[in-house]
Amino acid sequence: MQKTLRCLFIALVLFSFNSTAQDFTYSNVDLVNVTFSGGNLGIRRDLVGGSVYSSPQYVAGASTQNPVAYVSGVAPSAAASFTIDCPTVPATVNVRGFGSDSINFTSASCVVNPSATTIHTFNYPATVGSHVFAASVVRLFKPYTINWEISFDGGTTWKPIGTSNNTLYVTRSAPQAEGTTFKWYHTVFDISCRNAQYMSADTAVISKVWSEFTDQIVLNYNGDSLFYYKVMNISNTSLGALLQYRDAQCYTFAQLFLATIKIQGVVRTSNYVYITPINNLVCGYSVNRFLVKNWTFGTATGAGTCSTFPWRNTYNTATGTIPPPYNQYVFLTSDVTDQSGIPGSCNIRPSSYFNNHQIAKIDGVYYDACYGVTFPSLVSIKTAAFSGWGFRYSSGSTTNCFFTNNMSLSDLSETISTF
Amino acid sequence: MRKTFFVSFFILLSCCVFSQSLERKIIIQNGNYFFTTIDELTQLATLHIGKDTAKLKNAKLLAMPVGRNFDDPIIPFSWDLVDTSVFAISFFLHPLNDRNEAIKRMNIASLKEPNKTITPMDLIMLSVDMNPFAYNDPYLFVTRRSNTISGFFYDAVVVNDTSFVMAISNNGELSIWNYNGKEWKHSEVQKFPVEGFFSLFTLKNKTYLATNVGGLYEISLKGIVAAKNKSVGTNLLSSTLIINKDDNTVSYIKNSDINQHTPLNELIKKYAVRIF
Repeated sequence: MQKTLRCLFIALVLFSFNSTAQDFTYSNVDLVNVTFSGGNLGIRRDLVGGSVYSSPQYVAGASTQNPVAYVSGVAPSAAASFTIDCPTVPATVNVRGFGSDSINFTSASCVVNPSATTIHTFNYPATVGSHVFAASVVRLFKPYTINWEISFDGGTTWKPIGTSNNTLYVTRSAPQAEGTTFKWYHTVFDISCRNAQYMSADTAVISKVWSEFTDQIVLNYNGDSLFYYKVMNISNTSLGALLQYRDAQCYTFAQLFLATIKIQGVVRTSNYVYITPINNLVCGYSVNRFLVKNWTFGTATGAGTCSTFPWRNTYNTATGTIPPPYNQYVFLTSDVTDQSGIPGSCNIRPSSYFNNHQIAKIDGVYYDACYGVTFPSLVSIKTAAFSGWGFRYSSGSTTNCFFTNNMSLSDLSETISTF
Repeated sequence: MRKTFFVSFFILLSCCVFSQSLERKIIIQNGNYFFTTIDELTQLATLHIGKDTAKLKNAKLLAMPVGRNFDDPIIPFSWDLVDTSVFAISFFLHPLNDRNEAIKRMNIASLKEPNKTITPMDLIMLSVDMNPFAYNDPYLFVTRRSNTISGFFYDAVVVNDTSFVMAISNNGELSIWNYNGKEWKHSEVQKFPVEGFFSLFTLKNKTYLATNVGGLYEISLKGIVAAKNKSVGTNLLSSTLIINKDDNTVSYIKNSDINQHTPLNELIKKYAVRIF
């Protein structure tokens, strides 16, 4: 009797399983791509004139996936494409996704497209996520993951069919509009969201973003260093050029810092400062050079020409102060010599002989992103960062420079614009 | 790596330079045309020269040790030429480029054709140590008057051997400057809000200022007055001025009508609109 019951039970189970359970011979389902939509922001490649990353942002098997960005308070939308490899397929399947930040993409019925082969396609339609990214909060998801599932029985049982991973940035507010130089570059999103994660207030965003610069190690979205004068006379002066070539002048670091604030929708006008000597006349010439620390002042040989600027260097006018291979100052004669001093971004000994410099100014504080330092006032810059003032003139093939280490003999002027 | 970059740069310069927009104007002098373009990466200018009966694409290229930046808002390259000299206000961004020394005068014969032996850095170094034609007093005046830059634009032209005229605006104010080879004189500062860049041109010893929205004014040290019954009639952003010093005419041509495969004189005949 017991044996009969046991056989009957097994027979019932087998019969039941065969008639109603999913047929997992359909299990050869592959995620092909994922497209984000619904108000996502256009992120530019880190190139001069860089194009916007296209969709689909996730492509299975691709070596890199495209980044995605939204403004906080918006729910992401996602669509996905799949293949199923099977001789016989159902007319429809159900698909759903579970995203990071507990954002779910609800179940949708997807038509399995007919095919002459065993491989069929089906598409999960663009579907708005179950909730928005928290309003007014910066977020970074590296990666933003969606675990995709399929059901062959109308949603009773589910089976994993792949995971998509994309870097996803959430800005606190709508980014400021692009201009000629301010662009929504990938690294601008990355530095900003990486550092200001979970921040809301303007001051918190600014402070956290600034922390990227204070250790003189500024990294792009890929973890690569952004150099301040790796080549000592590098001519790159635009934000796009800094991000493309990862080596540039001061203008670009000021722009990068301000761009990482603007991308969060933080508005600060009169934020971009061009500083240069006031052009006071000394010994008949305009003071228009300064030396950033450190330079050593040796024996002065130029007092006969200018007693107040007695240290004299000369160089070949045609080749300038940094001839090939562009890795050090080369003078014909030199009373002052360049030493290691204030390190710049990813460079312990950047260029340091200048006519001008560009920095950011926010809420009254001067932010020098090249060196990762701040100054409370314009006048404090020269004492904290300079070794001396200079003027120069060219005569024939030689340029003569005269210097002083008396910082009271000139000052900085500033012109202020809005980046 | 750098060598590869420079070689690539000059190959690209030779092949693709015309894809860059013309800076403000085409000048015709002694049967030759002259125009300039700016390389977006290096910010350096190239002077294009050819017969006015020749196609623009066949122009001879000369690398200039001057240029301009791409900051917002754009101020197109300010340049002019008289006889064998080309004048420019060199506002490219570089930590050694002194804006006070930005006004340069170059002999056209001294300019070299682009080649791999002259790197952009060579040109920049040449520029920053080139003695200025005149100190840029207009710039110092304006920035000392207000160190906040807003609506900042400038342009300059050479009227004759003893008159270099510059107009400069900031914060809704405009002033006119004249350098006579020894010293600067300037007009009263005048309220003159501009919504974008303006361009100057000279005709019969008079200097005119064309705004980017089509306005036309006669300028002098006495000030600025609207040109009677005249307007440019076009947006400067989408057009290029044609200053013909041979027949003393001024016209404009829409940028979309500039075909580099067509001789300039045919382009002018077909598309140019006369202002004077």
